[in-house]
Amino acid sequence: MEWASILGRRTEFATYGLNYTGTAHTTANAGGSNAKGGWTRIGGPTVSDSYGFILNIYTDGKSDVVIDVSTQSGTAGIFLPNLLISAPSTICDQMFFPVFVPAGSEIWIRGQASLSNRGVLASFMTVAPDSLNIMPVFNRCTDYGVDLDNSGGTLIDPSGSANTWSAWREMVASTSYPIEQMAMLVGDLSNSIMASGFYLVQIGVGSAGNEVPIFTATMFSNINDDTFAPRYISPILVSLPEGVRLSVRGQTQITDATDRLMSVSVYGFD
Amino acid sequence: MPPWTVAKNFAYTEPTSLTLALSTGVQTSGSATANTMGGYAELIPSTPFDVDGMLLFLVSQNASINSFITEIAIGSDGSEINIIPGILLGGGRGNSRAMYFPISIPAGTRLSARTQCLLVGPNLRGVNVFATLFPRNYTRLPMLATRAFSYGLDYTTTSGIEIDPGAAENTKGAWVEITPSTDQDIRYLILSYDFYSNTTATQARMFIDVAVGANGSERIVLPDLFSQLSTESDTPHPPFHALPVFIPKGSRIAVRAQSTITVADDRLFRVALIGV
Repeated sequence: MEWASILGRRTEFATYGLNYTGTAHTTANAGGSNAKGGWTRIGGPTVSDSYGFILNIYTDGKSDVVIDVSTQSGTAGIFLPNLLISAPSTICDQMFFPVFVPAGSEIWIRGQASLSNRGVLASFMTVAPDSLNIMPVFNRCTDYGVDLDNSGGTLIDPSGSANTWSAWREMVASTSYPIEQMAMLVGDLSNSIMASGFYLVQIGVGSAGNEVPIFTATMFSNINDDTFAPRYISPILVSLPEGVRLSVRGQTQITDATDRLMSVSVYGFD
Repeated sequence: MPPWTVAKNFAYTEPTSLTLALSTGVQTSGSATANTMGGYAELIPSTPFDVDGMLLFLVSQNASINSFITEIAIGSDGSEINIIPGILLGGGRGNSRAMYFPISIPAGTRLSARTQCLLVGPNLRGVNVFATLFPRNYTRLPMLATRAFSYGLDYTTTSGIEIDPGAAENTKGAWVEITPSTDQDIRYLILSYDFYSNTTATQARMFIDVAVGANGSERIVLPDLFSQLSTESDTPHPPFHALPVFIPKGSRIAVRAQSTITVADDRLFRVALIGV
């Protein structure tokens, strides 16, 4: 780790969890059969307050994985719950989360996988306060739409009609807290033989039958790495009060019964 | 305005045009001549509100290897002015990405995009572009730019500046200057890269440093950005996001890296930066 101070402003990032001799990451366990694995310490204590949290992460094999990020070896410190990770061993995701992490924090990770046990390879970066003077950060992240029974998100099936919106699927009947910013993660149900094509996903608010789309994303299925690109989308700048019903729908060019499926989870920050 | 009633306290976003018949955004295509920009394609004829942020999606049109440079512009047809010049999308094979740009755009502005590519064979030339626009009242951002600047792009090769991690594995290579002097204060920095459209890549992991300062006095501002070169897609991952780092106007920026591989060709990659 090195430090920089530019014109009196603290702009340093710090990276933790790296193995320089192998140019590799710390490996945590993601239990198979949709069961949470044990906690693994990735790094820390962090040397300064972090105004944002950047997670570099991938798995050691094909499987959707849901991970928790905590400041301790236990659930009481979870500040990023149930992140849906769909990056197999060939590729890595970099995710930015607008959350505050105080100096002195240790970072621990645990996960669960839909298939057999997986290693989750992770490192993280902290962001100094003067770096992040254009984006607010928050104290809480709440997950919506995660399906822990399948280590995935809310299932979207666009049906057999190409390029036609699916029905809306409820992610949560009533949000627990206001949402100032939102992140979205997309899984592929551990599909190891994807087909090539375009996808659209919309997040909506409103009662059943009265959904209003508030955000649209577009993706491409990467058939070489067998995953969607992009899979992580943030920040989505919204201002939703608590008590909102969230739903999701999608469409794709692909009509194959397996390859057309997506699963989506969202994360509200306040 | 959006085609729905916006309830009080509910934020809304405005999507640019979609190609619903293909489940994607607006298709932009490079010229039939390699490394030559194609024409602008309209993303939205008129922004419906004052925009204070844009989440931009660039999506490969197919799973073939290629490198692209895509530009985002404002202005009427034939009078476009780039506000996001030169986003490098290297590798192809599904190397699609979403990037946030904290840029202000007045209501009533036409947005468009254009693309160039390295390889121009049939069905190779395109990037689909889509953006979600965030209105001013909801972003609450204290300082915003009206355009971005790119550094290190090489339009003649649809690429960036070469970085060599060196012949010693897992050891940082030499610093390579990306720009001698930045044009503006940078508050968000995006690193883009490609691997020479290498179709027989060797699996590699890398740590990439970004630094400011004079030659020999580089000070790291972004340490150890992690990247993997996939042999499945021959594509570098991840597509890096806009990272909130402050770099003052007039700064020299340099990049270096270490890699797990020393294979002479496969270890090389090329970098371009976008500052906002």
